Amino acid sequence: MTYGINATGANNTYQLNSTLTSTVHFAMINQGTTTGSNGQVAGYSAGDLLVGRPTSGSGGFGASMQSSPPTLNVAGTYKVLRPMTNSTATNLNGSDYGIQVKNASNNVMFDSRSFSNGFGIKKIFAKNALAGGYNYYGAVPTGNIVHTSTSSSDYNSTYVSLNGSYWGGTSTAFNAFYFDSSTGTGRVLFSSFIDFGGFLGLGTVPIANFSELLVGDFI
Amino acid sequence: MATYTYTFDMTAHQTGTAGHYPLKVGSATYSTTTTMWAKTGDVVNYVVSEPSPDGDSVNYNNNTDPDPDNVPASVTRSSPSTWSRTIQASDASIQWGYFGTTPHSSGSGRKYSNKVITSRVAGTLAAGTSSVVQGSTIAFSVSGMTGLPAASGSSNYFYISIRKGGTMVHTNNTAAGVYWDSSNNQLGKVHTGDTSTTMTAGSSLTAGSDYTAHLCHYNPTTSEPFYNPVNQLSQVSFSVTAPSASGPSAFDSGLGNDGINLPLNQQVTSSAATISGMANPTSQTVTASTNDGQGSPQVSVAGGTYATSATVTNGQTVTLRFNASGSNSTTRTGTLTINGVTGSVAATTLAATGGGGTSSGGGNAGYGISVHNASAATTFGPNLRSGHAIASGSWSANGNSSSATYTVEGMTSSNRDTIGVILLNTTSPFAGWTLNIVYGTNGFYVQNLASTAVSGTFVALRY
Repeated sequence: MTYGINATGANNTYQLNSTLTSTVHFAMINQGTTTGSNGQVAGYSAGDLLVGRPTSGSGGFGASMQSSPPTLNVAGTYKVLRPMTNSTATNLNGSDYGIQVKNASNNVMFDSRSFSNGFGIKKIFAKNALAGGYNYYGAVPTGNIVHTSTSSSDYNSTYVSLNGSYWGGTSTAFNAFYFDSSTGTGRVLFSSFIDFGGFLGLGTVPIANFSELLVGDFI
Repeated sequence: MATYTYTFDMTAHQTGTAGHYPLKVGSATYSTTTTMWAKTGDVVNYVVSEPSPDGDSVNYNNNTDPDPDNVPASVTRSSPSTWSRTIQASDASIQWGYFGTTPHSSGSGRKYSNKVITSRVAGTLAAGTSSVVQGSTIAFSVSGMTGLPAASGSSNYFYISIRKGGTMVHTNNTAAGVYWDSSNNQLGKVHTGDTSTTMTAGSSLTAGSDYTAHLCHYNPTTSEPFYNPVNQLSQVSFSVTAPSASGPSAFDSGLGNDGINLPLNQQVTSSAATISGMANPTSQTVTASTNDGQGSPQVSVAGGTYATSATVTNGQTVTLRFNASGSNSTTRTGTLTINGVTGSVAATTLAATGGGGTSSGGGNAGYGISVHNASAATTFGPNLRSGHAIASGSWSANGNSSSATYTVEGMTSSNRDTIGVILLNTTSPFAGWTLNIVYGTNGFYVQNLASTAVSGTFVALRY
């Protein structure tokens, strides 16, 4: 690298590298809440990253991402993160100062004016890392604990990625979650299953996460 | 105690001439100088006849040649008649002579004459060890050998037979049987000139603690003249054991390198290590484990189904699979163990870089680029693992097929700690469990294991 900027964070995490050609920072372009069941997520476009959590309390949590716009199964809080190249905001954190980095494709990969909040990723779960199952209040979900909160405020600021989520009610859920505030300072469980009921004696079949999941919190 | 009955017609040999009273041998091959061997307490019966058509009577000869003893002298009985004796410990060799009443045609002496010799035998068998390993040897020796003349040809031997649980072991000169240094059959042999013999337990001779070795004398009147239990002089017990397993050769390096900065709970799959050097047996059990007992460790042999343990044979490969820890900066070590030989892979999860807010897992780097918002909160910085978009779009795959490959800058087959894919299946009815994302260099594709076509969207991220 003979020009540009390359920044690496703690523990060798990626920050910026302008020699890349298609990697751009996510900027939060919208946030909101839904009420009731099947509340719609505003401002979401294909290619965005959607993260969310229930507004309060405990319960199963997931999105119906195949709906347009996506919906949350219960009242929830969500954040829509958009690739910088598709974000037009340049005044969320000052408008005439800051830092802007373009990548090797001459596209803006980072602009400090385009976001006033950050999404810090706390945990990443590789595919099949979570066993799945109908994990819920009081369950002992071996291999399905996504996050154990250190405090109630930590619990309340924890968001999960929803892009791969499918919520089909109490009989079906994929890459969904159960937010459980009843245990300690709260925890988030992975809940992914098909409930066949008595059909062929199959009962509830656990479904592992078939792609990556993110857990993080907002600043 | 045994009862031996030896029945014979006297031989036509004129008394009073050279070679009269010829010995009635027990066997022209195995007992050439003795009629019968017997033990203290055994009853020996000789049923003696004049051959037809001369059958008349049988006389016990009390003359000095041969010198009879133990039976009242000058006894004349009808033909056939039986002479009996219970062998005493004081007996050594008993010689009885008989002649028939029928006169010899020359008018001198009698036409028929014979003698029989009964020798009292004894001996005590001992084993050089109480346990023999398959494929190894065990020596047997006989002490107190009594009553056996010097070996001559195949005659004048004691025999050692092997039984397992009381059943005779006849298999010999194969791995499943026994080998003797003193014979080419299932019986060991000793004689006055060599009172020891060595047996080799076949490499696949059935193991057990119920083996016995039996020292027997020959007796022509029994159905199994060499090893009939009634011919037994002594016995000794021993065990046959399987040899201790050995090997395999070290295989740790074959499992590949340790993993670092792994996503939480990521499934770790080692390289396939080829196993060699196992012996006794050449197939052994391989067991998967982790240092903390967590992570669902499993092993695959030769690319087969993963299980907690399996059997591996020399030349096959073993692959270890387990899940990394669910906590940041934690090392979990998976281990495969074969006969005490281990191979391990350590998987260390990525450090918590923190998410700001109330997260307690923040890093502590004091360098890099930081962006603060109006509230002075760090919204981008070296201690905050941020998300970055790389690619997004739609994907599709026909039934039992794979999708096209979708480009993701920087992706490799193993860097899930920095680049991942969030996949959504929008097909109805949903069949997400049939999908498998296959990561590769600068891209991925989706394997559809279902028979119906599926499609959806994806977002690829760097974090």
